[in-house]
Amino acid sequence: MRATRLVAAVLVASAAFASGCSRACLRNSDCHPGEACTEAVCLLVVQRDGAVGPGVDAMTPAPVAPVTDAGADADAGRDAP
Amino acid sequence: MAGSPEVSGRRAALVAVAVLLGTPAAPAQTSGFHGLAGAATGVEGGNAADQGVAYRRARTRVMAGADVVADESAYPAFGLRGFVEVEQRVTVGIGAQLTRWATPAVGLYVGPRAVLAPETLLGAAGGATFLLPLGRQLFLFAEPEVAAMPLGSDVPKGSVVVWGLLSLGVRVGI
Repeated sequence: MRATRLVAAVLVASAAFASGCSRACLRNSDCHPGEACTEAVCLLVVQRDGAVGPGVDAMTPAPVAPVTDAGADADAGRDAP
Repeated sequence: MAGSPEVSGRRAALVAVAVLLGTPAAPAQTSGFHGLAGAATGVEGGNAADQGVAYRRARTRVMAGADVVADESAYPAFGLRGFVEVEQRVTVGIGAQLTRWATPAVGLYVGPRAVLAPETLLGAAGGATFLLPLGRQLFLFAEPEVAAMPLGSDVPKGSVVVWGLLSLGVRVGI
């Protein structure tokens, strides 16, 4: 019984170590590339492209013809009899 | 009276003291260059934000360097050091130091330290050099040192990397 618990503890510890989610560090070079040492723990650095808000990235196509209120008003006037 | 055993004993004691005080062990009093090589390890620390200060065993490093040694121990000696951290990640660094020899075998030093690659660290160190003569120009040395490295890309935000190191090695007069 004790041996089973010991094996389970070792497996859990190994899994936590392998996951890297709690990798301790004192210097940035202790972490893998793409990670930074923050509060003594390696955290993945997410590179954003400067856009604000979710769901927008470099692959999102830009609008082809921006529609403004002024343009909408002009169109409305041209269509009027 | 002058030939009495008591007076002879005092003369012998005085001669022994004079010889001991005048022993020219003098690693720091030999002019020229001293080359050295050795290894170091110790303790490395840094801020862990809310967790306070964290410590661990420092990366083992190998080091080599040279000192310019003056004739008189009253003059400070200038030295250069190069080191390579060989554990976990390999890094390359350099340092310089100004040593003031308190005795021919004990010196105190301060100087800058820097890690150059692959990440950078910059700071200052202070420590002591202890020499154990093995021969006329051959010495064992021990250098306990503390260093604070607040600058560089290898320093986490809001942290300062600190080292407490002990270097051991061989020093040769050139």
